[in-house]
This record gives sequence, structure tokens and C-alpha cells, in this order.
Amino acid sequence: MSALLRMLHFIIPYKWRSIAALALVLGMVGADLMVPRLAQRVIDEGIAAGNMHVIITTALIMIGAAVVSSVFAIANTILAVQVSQGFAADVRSALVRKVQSYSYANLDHIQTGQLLVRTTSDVNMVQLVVRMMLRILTRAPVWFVGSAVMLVLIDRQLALMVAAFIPLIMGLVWLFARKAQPLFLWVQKKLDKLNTVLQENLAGVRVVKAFVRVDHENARFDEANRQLMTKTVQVMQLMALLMPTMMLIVNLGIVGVVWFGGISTIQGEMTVGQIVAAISYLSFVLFPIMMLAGMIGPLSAADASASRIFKILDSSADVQETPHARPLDRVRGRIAFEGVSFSYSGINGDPVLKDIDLVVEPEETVAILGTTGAGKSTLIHLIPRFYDVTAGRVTLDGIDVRDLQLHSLRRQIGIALQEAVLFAETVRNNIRYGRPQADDDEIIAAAQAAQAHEFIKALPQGYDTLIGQRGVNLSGGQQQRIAIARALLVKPKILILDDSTSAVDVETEIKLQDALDQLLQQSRNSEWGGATRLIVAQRISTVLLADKIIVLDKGWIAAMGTHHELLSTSSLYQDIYRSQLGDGRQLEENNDG
Amino acid sequence: MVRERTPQPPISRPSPASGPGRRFRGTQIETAKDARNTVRRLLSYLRPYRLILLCVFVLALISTLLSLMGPLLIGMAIDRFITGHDIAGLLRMTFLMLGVYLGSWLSQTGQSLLMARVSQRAMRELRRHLFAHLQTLSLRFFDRDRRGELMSRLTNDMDAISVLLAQNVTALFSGLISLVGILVVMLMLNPLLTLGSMIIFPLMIGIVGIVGKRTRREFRRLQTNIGQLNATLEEMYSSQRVVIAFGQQSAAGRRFDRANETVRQVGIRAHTYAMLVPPLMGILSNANIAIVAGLGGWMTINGLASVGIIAAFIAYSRRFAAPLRQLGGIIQSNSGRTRRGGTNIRCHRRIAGTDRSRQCNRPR
Repeated sequence: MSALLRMLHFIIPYKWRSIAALALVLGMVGADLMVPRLAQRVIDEGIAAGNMHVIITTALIMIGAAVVSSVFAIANTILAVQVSQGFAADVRSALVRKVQSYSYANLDHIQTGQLLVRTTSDVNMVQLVVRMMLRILTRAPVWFVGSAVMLVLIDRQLALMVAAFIPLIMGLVWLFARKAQPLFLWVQKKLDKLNTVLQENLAGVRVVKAFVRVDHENARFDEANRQLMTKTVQVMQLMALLMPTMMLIVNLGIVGVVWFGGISTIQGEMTVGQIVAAISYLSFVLFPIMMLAGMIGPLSAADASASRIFKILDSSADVQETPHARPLDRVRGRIAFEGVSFSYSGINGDPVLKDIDLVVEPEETVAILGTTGAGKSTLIHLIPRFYDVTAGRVTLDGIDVRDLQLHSLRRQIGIALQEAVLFAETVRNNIRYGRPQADDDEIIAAAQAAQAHEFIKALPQGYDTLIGQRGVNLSGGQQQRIAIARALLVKPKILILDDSTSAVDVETEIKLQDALDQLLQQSRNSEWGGATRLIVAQRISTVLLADKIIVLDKGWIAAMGTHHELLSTSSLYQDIYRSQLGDGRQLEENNDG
Repeated sequence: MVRERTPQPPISRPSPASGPGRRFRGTQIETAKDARNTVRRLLSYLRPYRLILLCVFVLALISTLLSLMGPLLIGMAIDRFITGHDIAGLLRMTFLMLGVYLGSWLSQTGQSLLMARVSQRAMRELRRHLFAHLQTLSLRFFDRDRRGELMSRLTNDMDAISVLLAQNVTALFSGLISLVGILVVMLMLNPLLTLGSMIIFPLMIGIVGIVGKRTRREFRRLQTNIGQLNATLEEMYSSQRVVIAFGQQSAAGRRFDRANETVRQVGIRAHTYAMLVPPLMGILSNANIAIVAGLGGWMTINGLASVGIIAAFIAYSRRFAAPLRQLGGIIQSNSGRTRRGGTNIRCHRRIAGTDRSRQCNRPR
């Protein structure tokens, strides 16, 4: 339960309301406990003595107690709900803030689905327990102690008899808790597994269909499904044994009270009213224990949820700003890699980049070419510090990027990622995502350069068309062009296109390159002041006109130079060239990278 | 375990009402008829276990009736044997009570054990069908933007339906029997006192009804807002790399904050309403005891009732509130469950026929 206890930290902002809620619980139980005692008075002092006045006044006091108890209960509910909802919102917010601080390396290790479950159902589970804690969980022990005291006050011997049941019932609960808790966790695990299969199938539905794996997936799901069922049945059967047994113990207690109390009454040592009150208090003593037993499930589930939440909250962002990080105002755009090595799993991992030395001068266009897995994307991800180098350093205008303020570094960079992720918003909002204050002329100019203006205008509502589920579905190439326009609009000093024209046909791509050249040419005379361009590509046609082409191979720089230089010096480059451009007509082919 | 082939439940059978011929009109799918339909479809998964279910209900009936006898026996013990100083009779009564409670324990345990098996098998069938059915849907159903929502809906609703099947089907049944049984026994014991103790019921039921209506409305609003929050989260998390690349963390955070705050506020309203019912029921139970004590006391002095009857009535008053509270809770939570569960089933059915995935995926 340690994770759950740690969660209480989030209640601190609501401590006064929580304390008030608990105080109300005390009052509520107090009023509840009065009722059987008052009923006893009605019977013994009213009915037995034939005193009508006592009966009426006592009944009125009882109604008063009922009202008081309920008013307390309502106030308690209002407070408990406020605290628990605020608590849940705060935990969600903490999770979101943590994820906002993440870098790409963090995101590599955790799936969107997992994050989503942490922020929604896990938070809910804990929230539920917080609410229960403020309402029921604390009421149970108070109730238990209070009614035990009342029992002793009525008759010591009866209280002793009831006390004999307590270890029995406690032992039962303990036994149950020991057996049930691992089972609950098992069920949770099986459920997670089932959900994983489901999630994988939802996410990879195209693959499943394409490779005709439906039967295989069905079998996989059936197995997870069967295991879940078996474990759930076990838990439920355990519960099925526990609850009636607890009830039986309470009832045995009642039989005991009737028998022993009955004999005492016959012998004149007790009154009938005391028996009636004792029966009420008896259920009061034992019910809280049953209530607690019923909470074992939610409690252990919430504890599991809490520890999963803390796994995220305790994680630290892989890329962090140093305390002495400098801001960056005027940028020329000179990028240098100095002996850079990189591995996704730290110093001991397999290096993806090995000993890279590379200088990109301001306003140069540099293309990076290489096979899949050569490290092209990794290389350019090091510039905006999506990842940090494992060895060596990357500098911008001579300053190590790790010494720069993250925000001011990334503000200089416009990037179109390999997968063009767009938001379910209007086209306009998508383009101006990185610079919300951009005006329409700028947006259109960026779209024109990215060869997106024409097709956007043809959309039902032009730039106001919604993208995604509630709007239009764009083709891969269209999405990529919007992503490029988005990158251009921030007027970056460094423009990075990470294989971002893979789904665009060659003809459009050439137009796009020309328009980009023009735009950047013009920008030199404006406040933008031109940009350094890095282009990652699979297609050689994309890179022909670059100032410098870098051929990456298994993490090494295999060759570097202009197209003509490489054509005469690098056999690897020649191979790529021949395979793609040997016959001009093959140009069209590789357009679905 | 033997894998039995149960007859195809209606989930995968394109029903004539939803075939391509019938046009689906907007989102007006929340009618009472639909809810009833959904319950019927859900119950159809229990059909293969008819015989076991019959046993379950017989056992539930027995256990409920036996447990109803408890207060009656206590009252008799007080009136006849304790007040009448009859130790031998008290001993006989004690053994009778023991027998009744043991019988109640046996039947209740048996009923729960059986129900656990049946409900979970039915759940397994339902999950199996759902999954197999997902595999047959067109790709358009799996829009990337809404995958998170679809996922969370499938898992959460399955959970909810599981609870519904496992606990509520029998709870509903024994709750109803309890209510009717208690009323009958009380009327038999003392009609006048019964009438007196029922005075506040209409008032309470009225209040609970009003609160319940409010609760449902607020919960519907909450559901919509939670859907929006989930969609915001899904989009945010899945586009986190772009958010980082363009340094838009604080803008994304603000958007989340708005959705989060709305859920908090609407959540407070909805849950406050929902949780007002138990305290209100508490008044009912306690005030009822007061009336029984007061009125019963007056009647006893005038020879119209007895202490044992008062004792029995006090016990029944406590029991009467419990099933009422339970029923209220079940009805409240289930209106959401069946509704959402129903949406899923309907969506799948509809997609199978007409491929109108859009409307199903939309958050409500």
C-alpha cells in the first residue's frame, strides 16, 4: 500500500476540507450510535413503565439524531467529492506536465496507450479510493470502536461474548485478504494482457489484415480471454465464500445475544430493551469489518494504479536544461558535429552513430542519404536535442547545444518529421501550429512554397477545413506537404526535412524544392535572413542539387561532397545512383517510402 | 475446459432493423426502447446457462426468504419466551434461528458461486465475439485519431457490463423479493404500525427520484466532458514529438488544463448528486426507527402491539433501506452502463451492415 500512501501527498492542498470531512464522519457516527440506545429507552422506560411522555420525547430525539446524522453525511459527501475530484484533476495535471517535459528518448520507451491509461483509468481508480477513504474507510473503524463501547455499556458479559467473535471474523478477513490480494493483481495482469492484445490489434489492424493473421490473432485473444475468465472466477468465488460467511457470523452473534441475553432477562439481570439495542450494536460492530473486507479489491487495484502512476511521475526527462543554459538571440546557423557518437541505450549500447565529424555552414543545403537504419534521422534529431549525444558534441554557432536554453534552441529550428502528425483541427491551425500569431498571407506563402496551397484551396472549406476524423482525410503526400508548410512558417534559421517528401510524387517534389530555393533566397533580404537546410532523403533525386551530400552507412559517414564529386569518388553513392536513376523512368517508383 | 460452440448471439447477426435498407438518423439513439433492447441482447449471452440460472434464482429466493425470517424469529423469541419466561422454548427458538441462518448461508454461498461461473463465461463469450467482430470491420472503423477512445471505451464498458452481469442481475432479483417480502411480513405482523412506518417513504422516494433525475443529467454531461478530455489527451500524447519539435508544450498544457478543469467541475456536480442518495436513505432508515419506536410504543401501551413486534420492525426498517439503496444504485449506474454498452454493440452491428463508422466513434 506504499504507493497509495504516497499518493496522499496530492491531498495536501485540500487538507482542511479533508479534515472537516473526517470530523463530520465522527459526528455522523455519533448520531447513528445514539439511535439504538434511544430505542432501548423507549422500550424500557417508556413501554415497560407505561410512560407516554418518555416515548414521545425519545422518538422526537431519535428523529433529531437522524436528521443531524444525515446533514453531517451530506456535508461530508460534498467535501469528499470536492477533494477527490480536485485530487484527480491535480494528478492528471502532474502526469501531463511530466510528459510535457519528456524528450524523444522517454517517448521511445512508453506507448501512447499506456500514458492514456495512466492518466484516465489509473487516476480514476485512485480517486475512487480517496473518496471512499473520506467517506467509508474512516467511518468503519470509528463505528467499530463506538459500537463496541456501547455494547460494553449495555452488558459486559454480552460484550465479552461478542468479543469472542471478533478474532474469528478478523482471522477470516485476514485469510481472505492474503488469498485475495495476489488474485486481484493476477486479474489485473490478465486484464492488461487482454487489453494489450486488443490495443495491438486496433493499432496494427492493417498489418493483421494484410498478412491474413486474423485467425492467429483470434487464437491469441482467446487464450488471454480464457486466462482472464479463470482468474476472475476464482476471485469472485472467493468473494462468494466470504460475504455470506461474514453474514453468518453476524447472525450467530445475534443468536448468541438472543440466547444469553434472553436467559439474563428471564433471570432479571437484563431488560428487553437492552437485547434489542444489543442486536443493533452487534451489527454495527461487525459491519465495518465486512465493509473493509469489501474494500480489499478496490484498495489493491488502486495501489497497483498508484505505483504505475508513480512510475511516470518518478521518471526524469532524458534531455534537461542545465541551470546555466544561455539564451540564443541572433543565429547564423552554423552547425558542427564534433566526434559525435550516439546510442539509444547509453554508453554501453550499440552505437547508431559513430564518430561523426561534420560542419554545415550557414545557409548551406546539406542532404543526408543512406539506407534504412543508417542513422540519418538520428543524426538530425541531435541538433534540436531530441536526444543528447553519447560522446562528442553538437554545436550551433560554436556553442554546445546542451548549453543553450531548450526553448530558444528549438525556436530556431523548423522541422518536418518523418511521420507527418497533424492535429484534428483546421488546415490553417495546423500550418500555424508553431507560430499561432502568423497572419493569413504568411500562411498562404508557406503553403504555396510547400506545394500545398492548390489542394487546400480545393478542399470543401479551404483553409478552414477540418482535418481528421471529423473532417477530411488527406493523403500521405498531402499531410507531408502541410507538415512542411508548418515547418516553414516558423521562419526557422535551420530547416530540417526528415524524409518528409517520401509520399510526394517526384514531379511535385521538384517543384517544392524549387519553391523552397526561391523562398529562402528571398528570405535573405528580409528579417528572416535565410536558413540552413538539412534534408534527409531516400531518393537520390531529392538530393541532387544540395551543396553537400553526406552518405551515411551503418552510423559512419561513408562519403561527403557534391553530387559530381561523389559520383566520381564514392562507389556506394554510385550504387545508389545506378539503382535509382540508372534508368530515368524508375524515378517514379520509389514514392512510398 | 471444453470450448462449446454456442449458437450465434445476435451481436453478429445483422438484424433486419439495421440492414442497409434502413437509414440511420443522426445520433438520436438514446431511447428507452434501445436500453431495453440492449439489456435483452446482453441477457442473450446468459441463455446457454438457463438451467444453472434457474438454480441461481431458486437459491436466491430461498436465501432471501430465510434471511427475512430472522427479525420475525427475534420478535417471537422476545414476546413468547423471554417475556414469557420460557427457557425451554427459548432454547428451541435459538436452534430454529441457527438452522435458518445456516440455511441462508448455504443458499447464498451456492448462489454466488454459481453466478460467478456463469457471468464470467458469458463475459468471455461477449469479449470473444467482440474481438472476432472487430477483425471483420472495415479499416475505416479504426481511424487513427480515435483509436484511444475506441480502446478505452471497449475496455471500460466491458468492465461495466461484467459488473452488471455478475452482481446486479441477482442483486436486482433478491432486492425486489426482499422489498416485497418485508412489506408482506410487516403487514402480517401489524398493519397499523406498517402504515405508520411507511409514511415517509413516498416523500423519500420523491426526493430520490428528483435527485436521480439530476444525477443522470449531470452524469451525461460528465460523460461528454470526459470523452473530450480523453480525446485531448490522446491527441496530445500521440503528437508529443511534434509538440516538442515546435516548442508548444505550454499551449498544449493550457488546452489540457481547460478540459481538465471542466471535468473537475462537472465531476463535482455529478458525483455530489449521485452520492446524496445514501445519506437521504439514511434519514429514511433512522427516522423510520424513530417512528416505529414512538408509534409502536404508544400502540403497545394501548395493547395494539408488543415489544417483540417493535424489535422486528426496527430490524426490518434497517433491511428495507438496504435493498432500496441498492436498487437505486443499480438503476443509476446501469443506465450509463447499458447505454454505453449498447452503443458499442449497436455500432458493431451497424458497421457490419452499412459501414457507417463515423457516428459510432464520435464521443457523446
